[in-house]
Amino acid sequence: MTEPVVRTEQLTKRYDGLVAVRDLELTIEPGEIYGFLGPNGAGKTTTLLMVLGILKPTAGRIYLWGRPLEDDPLAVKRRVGVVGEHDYIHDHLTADEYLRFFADLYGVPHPAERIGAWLERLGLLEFRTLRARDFSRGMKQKLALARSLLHEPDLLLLDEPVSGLDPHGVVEVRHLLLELNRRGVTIFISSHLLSEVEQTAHRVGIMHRGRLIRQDTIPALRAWLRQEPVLEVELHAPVPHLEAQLRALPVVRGVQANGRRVVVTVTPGADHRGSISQAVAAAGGVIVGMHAHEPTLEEAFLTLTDAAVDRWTS
Amino acid sequence: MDVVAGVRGDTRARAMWRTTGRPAAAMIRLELLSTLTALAPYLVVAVAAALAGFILQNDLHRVQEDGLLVIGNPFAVSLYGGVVLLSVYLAGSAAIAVAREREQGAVELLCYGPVSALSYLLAKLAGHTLQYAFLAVLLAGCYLLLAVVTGLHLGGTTLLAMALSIGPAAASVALGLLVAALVRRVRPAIFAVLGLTLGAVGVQVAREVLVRLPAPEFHVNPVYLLRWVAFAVSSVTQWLLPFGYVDRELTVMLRGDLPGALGAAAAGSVYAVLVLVLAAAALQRTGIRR
Repeated sequence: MTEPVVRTEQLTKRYDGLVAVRDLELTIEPGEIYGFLGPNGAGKTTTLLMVLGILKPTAGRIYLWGRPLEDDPLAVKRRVGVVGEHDYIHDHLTADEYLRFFADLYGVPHPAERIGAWLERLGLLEFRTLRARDFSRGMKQKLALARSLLHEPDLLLLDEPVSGLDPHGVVEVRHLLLELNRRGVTIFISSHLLSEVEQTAHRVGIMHRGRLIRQDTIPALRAWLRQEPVLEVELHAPVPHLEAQLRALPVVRGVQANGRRVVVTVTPGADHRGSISQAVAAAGGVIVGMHAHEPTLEEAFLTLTDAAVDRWTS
Repeated sequence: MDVVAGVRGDTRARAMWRTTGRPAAAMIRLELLSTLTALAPYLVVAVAAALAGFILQNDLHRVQEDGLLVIGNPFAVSLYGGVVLLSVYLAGSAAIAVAREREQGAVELLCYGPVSALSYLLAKLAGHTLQYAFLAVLLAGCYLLLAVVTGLHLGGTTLLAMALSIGPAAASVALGLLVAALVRRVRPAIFAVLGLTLGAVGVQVAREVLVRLPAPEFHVNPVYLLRWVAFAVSSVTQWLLPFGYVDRELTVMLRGDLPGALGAAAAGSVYAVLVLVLAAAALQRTGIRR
């Protein structure tokens, strides 16, 4: 049986009473793209740094390719490429010198050819003699990506890889990641944006306040996150007892009346505007406007991580 | 391919080279590229050369006035000044480099790859020590030029003392690394290195002053007590701080005691290795994150 590329057991990190990561059980299979999601401060970067051996876990264990990380961390890290949060350093060097340094560090064979190939692939070839300090944020991000790929890693760990990139750059990086994945590279993308990973990741794990609250495929996650549609009704004048009458309808899940404005949560799957209109008219109300609103996956994710997940975890 | 297994298939030496040597060599190259293209090291050499010029001019002035100057080695004081200046500069430079790279996150970025705290600090030590060797050659060139201009004799002993000072200089660099590993931030690191240097010099000066001070004949003599304290503190700092190794190596070499100088240089190197290991442990403990 093939060992998972990354596996954590009861991984925990505490800082002076604050639990940054709690009992994390994470598994990343070979050849998959894993999206690691969560709002800022959820414990994503802490997890990443523990997997890289930069931070020491308070408790738990980390296995890379089936071996405990502490067995031979330097040898294991040769197989890993990382784009982290500190990539804009050594910026007194030109792009070429910067990549040459990292090629030497990893002992990359034929460094000049490989550096040229990656710079060309990422559209940086014409800027190779420019100092990195003169690069735009997006160009620096691409340079960091080139650095992480120079030694042909088997596992790519990316922390917010498209931050700073323009839409064209985002698409370019997305295509590159999919191409690398087709070649067998396992990719771990940490992000606070669901939209960033939903088009590439095979599986997604959602972190919230140090806990992995859900780990699933994108379609399953989509089903889990899908929220009920909402109808926002604007009345000509407030209608007494309308809330109770609407609640009596079988398609209505919830009602919030606030003067002339009524927000009705309905069951998904059909258009309920007709039945709501009839009920309002029967109660003696006059509708001057009605808007149907179905939350996007992104909104649902944000809502859930902000509020509903709190309820779920408690 | 399983790299872990691949490494196990290598010879031990090759595995060591792959995991520690090659990354360290890459970091040393980068270190030398960064430091030797900066202005500061050349300014320090220029200051040391100017100091030597001033001392020699003073000596020549005395010869002109008195017609005679009995002096064992006209470059001895300049050599002390130059070597101490370079050593202190490199200790400070090493401390600043590590503290700054830590603050910026460069150490963390390196440790994403095949770099450990020890190999990182080893590269810093080697880079700065090589830098010292280069600067010492430049300074020796300046002394040679001054010898030609002034007609004063620059002996082989002086040059040999300078060459052997590389061991104690490495010790100074190691102390700078330890300071940066312990205090983390750039400004406190500078103050700590300066404090240690001034403290070491201060203890030496206090000891010399107290030795020359006449002791009043009281029942409990405070001068004797202070003299004893200064002697005790200076004896300890002579071994705990690297500047003592610089002093010993130069003193014995200028006396013509080559085995003694070799011993002092070796002691300085051992000190450097021990402090480097301590610094690596401190860096691991305090964390490589900013």
